[in-house]
Amino acid sequence: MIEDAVSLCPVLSRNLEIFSARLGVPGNQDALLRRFRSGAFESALICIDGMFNSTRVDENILKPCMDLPAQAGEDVAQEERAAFLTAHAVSILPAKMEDNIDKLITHVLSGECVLLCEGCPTACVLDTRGFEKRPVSRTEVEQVVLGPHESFTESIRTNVTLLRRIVQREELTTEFLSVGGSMKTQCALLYLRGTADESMIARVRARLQACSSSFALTTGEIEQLIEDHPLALIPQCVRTERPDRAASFLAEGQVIILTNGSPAALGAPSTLWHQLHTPDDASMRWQYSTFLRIVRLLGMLIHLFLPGLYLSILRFHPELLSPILLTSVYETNSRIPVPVFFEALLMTLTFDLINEAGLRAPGAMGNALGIVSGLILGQSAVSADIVSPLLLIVVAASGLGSFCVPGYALSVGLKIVQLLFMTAGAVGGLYLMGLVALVLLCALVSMHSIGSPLTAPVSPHRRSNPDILLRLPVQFQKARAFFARHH
Amino acid sequence: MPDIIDSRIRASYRARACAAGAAVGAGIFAIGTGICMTISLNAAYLSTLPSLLLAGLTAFLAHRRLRRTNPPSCFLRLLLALTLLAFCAFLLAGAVSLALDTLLPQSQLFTLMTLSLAAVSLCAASGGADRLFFAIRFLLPVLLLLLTLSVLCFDSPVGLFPILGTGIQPLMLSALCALPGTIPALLLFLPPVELSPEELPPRALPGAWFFVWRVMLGGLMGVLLLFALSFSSAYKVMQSHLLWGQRMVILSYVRPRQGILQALLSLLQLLSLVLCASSLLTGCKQALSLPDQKALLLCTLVLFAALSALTLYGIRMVLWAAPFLLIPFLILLVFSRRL
Repeated sequence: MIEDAVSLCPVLSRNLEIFSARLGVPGNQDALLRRFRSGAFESALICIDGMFNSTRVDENILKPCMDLPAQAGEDVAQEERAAFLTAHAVSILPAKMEDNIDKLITHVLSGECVLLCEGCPTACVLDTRGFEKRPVSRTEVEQVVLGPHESFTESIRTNVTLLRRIVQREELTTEFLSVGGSMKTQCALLYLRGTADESMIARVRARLQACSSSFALTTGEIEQLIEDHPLALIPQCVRTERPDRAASFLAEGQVIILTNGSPAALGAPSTLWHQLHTPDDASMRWQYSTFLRIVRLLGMLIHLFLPGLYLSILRFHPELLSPILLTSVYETNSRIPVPVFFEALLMTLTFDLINEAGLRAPGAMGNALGIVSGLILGQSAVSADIVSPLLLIVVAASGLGSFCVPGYALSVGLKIVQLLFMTAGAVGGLYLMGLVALVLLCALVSMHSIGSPLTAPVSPHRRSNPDILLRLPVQFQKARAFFARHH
Repeated sequence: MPDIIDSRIRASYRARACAAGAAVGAGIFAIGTGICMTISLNAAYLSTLPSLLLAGLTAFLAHRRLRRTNPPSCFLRLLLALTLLAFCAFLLAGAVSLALDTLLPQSQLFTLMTLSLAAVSLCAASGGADRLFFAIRFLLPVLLLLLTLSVLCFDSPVGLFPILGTGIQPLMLSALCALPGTIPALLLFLPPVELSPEELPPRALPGAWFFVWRVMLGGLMGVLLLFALSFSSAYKVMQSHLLWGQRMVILSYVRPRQGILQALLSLLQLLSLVLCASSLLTGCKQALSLPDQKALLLCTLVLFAALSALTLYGIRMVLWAAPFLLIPFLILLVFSRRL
């Protein structure tokens, strides 16, 4: 069958038939097949309409080829004709030779042009991509006060360029991989030769190549497919939309994975501490960043434990409260018709609903939604004796704590853990909360990220910079991360 | 590159030594409150001092065993597994008793036992107890000491007198009964769980003192907590405490340190006991020559059966049985070279 051909043949018309059959021409009106005379032989150009820069194709490929004298290329061997045109007519950089039809189709679909010649069993792939893409803009999720504001975009080439502008080192290596099953997604694997560990790079590469899905993969899906514990609540790779942060991961010996169509980079392997640090930490003085890290940690602990503590104290340990506060709490709770656990669950879920609705509501409405919902719902619920004022304060404080968690993925995971602690506190008091904490901590310290322990260098111990919880001055940050080569 | 692998292996031994030390401290505290206090009352902390020396000796013998490459004897591995399992049950019973007498007096014994056992099994299944102990190796003792000092501050040391408690002979008997508190040091006979076959000892094995001082420091924490108990509880109050859990509570009669500080200290003691029990369960599972999941399931079922029996016949059964654990413990130490 014509569609089963693997490699090009020397006959131009046969090659064009193969491409027409594979691309669905003439039914598929996006695929363009253009035959023209180039000197002493015929050639053809294959590309997808809208994906290529038409000015570049006209000025740098078609016009120079068609302007060749009639006898040009007469003495050139047939199998060298494509190379001849590349050397004497085509002025596009980069250009490479290829004879595998599947790979040529992939290049065409990504926006490149394929130049075929009569009698030549290899084609020339020319990078003529020129489709519309979003320009580099400010970061949406990882906003900072100090530091750069550039963000990755959906174009993989733009993202690689953004990284190369920061990491201007000859060791920076970019490997392009096609990941997936029937629908391939282009990924780029970036690392610093000599800094990143070769066995770790090989592991990441193998996991990427093992991804087989029939739909286009995003960064998030690739992350879930390559991580060690896909069922865990905590992400094991760090995702960032900031080129400066991705560059710092490269310098530490991590591998960066960029996905075409996703404005985020994946850093692997990573540790739990990467998820808790913000890009601002490196830009500020060490005293400020240490103080803010402690504030962030307190916020996270309040988010996790405060509602559960409230429930456990009310149900099992009232002796921990002072008599005056206890009287006030019981007096308020006596008017509430629902048990305190359901009351807490209701308020927590309401807070999450407001949060989620604010994210999905368009622009100006989102801000108004948050304010109106908070004021009206909260105030009305207290006035109607559906919830107690103290619980409202607890849920609000817990909600504020959740916004202190730097990584969005981690913050959603912690919201689920918060519900676990609330249930434990309501069922078994402080003891059961403690048991749940122990089980989760034991699971956390035994997790790995692409083979590296997730909670290293704290446990297990590895040599590291003084930059885990406290951030000491930058003069003391001399060591590479433990997963770098010869750290 | 070999140095990097060796530092990784050393980090694993460090985690195992921390876990063993903490478990020895918990064991000394549990045995001290469970048995020694009933014999020598407020001199219980003195009677547990020889246990520190025995813990150091056990660590030294464990290091000697790890240096050898001969395969272990099945009988002694089984004896090791059973001894660790029995002591795990002992620690769990102590934790449940403390929980019943402090934080959850209105709960059922069986419910608390089941919840504690489930938590211990889940911790052992993930295999993270050693690493968790290493992560909190400074935090846990500092918190314990701070809370204990806060609770005891301005209390008079009347509970320390008479220094020898009920006399020399009961003190010596109490010291003998306290020796099984060092059973958790047997964990050091087993190499760390995360080592691959080519990383097993004697490759990159640290020196004997690497294990000895960590185990003795951990045991010292247990002795210090017993000292704090003697400090806080008057002679006559201690005599009237017939329940194991009540004897573990470091009391304070000075307001406002009742309430929240007391609850935090009890919670910390509870979680330490549970985490040490999970370390022992991990060790027991490792000592059995079975696939990981099957070994854990078997150990959990045996523990469940044992703890259920305790629920029927009372926790004091485990206190009566604890001194007899000295027999398998001494057998293991004497024949450690063949282990």
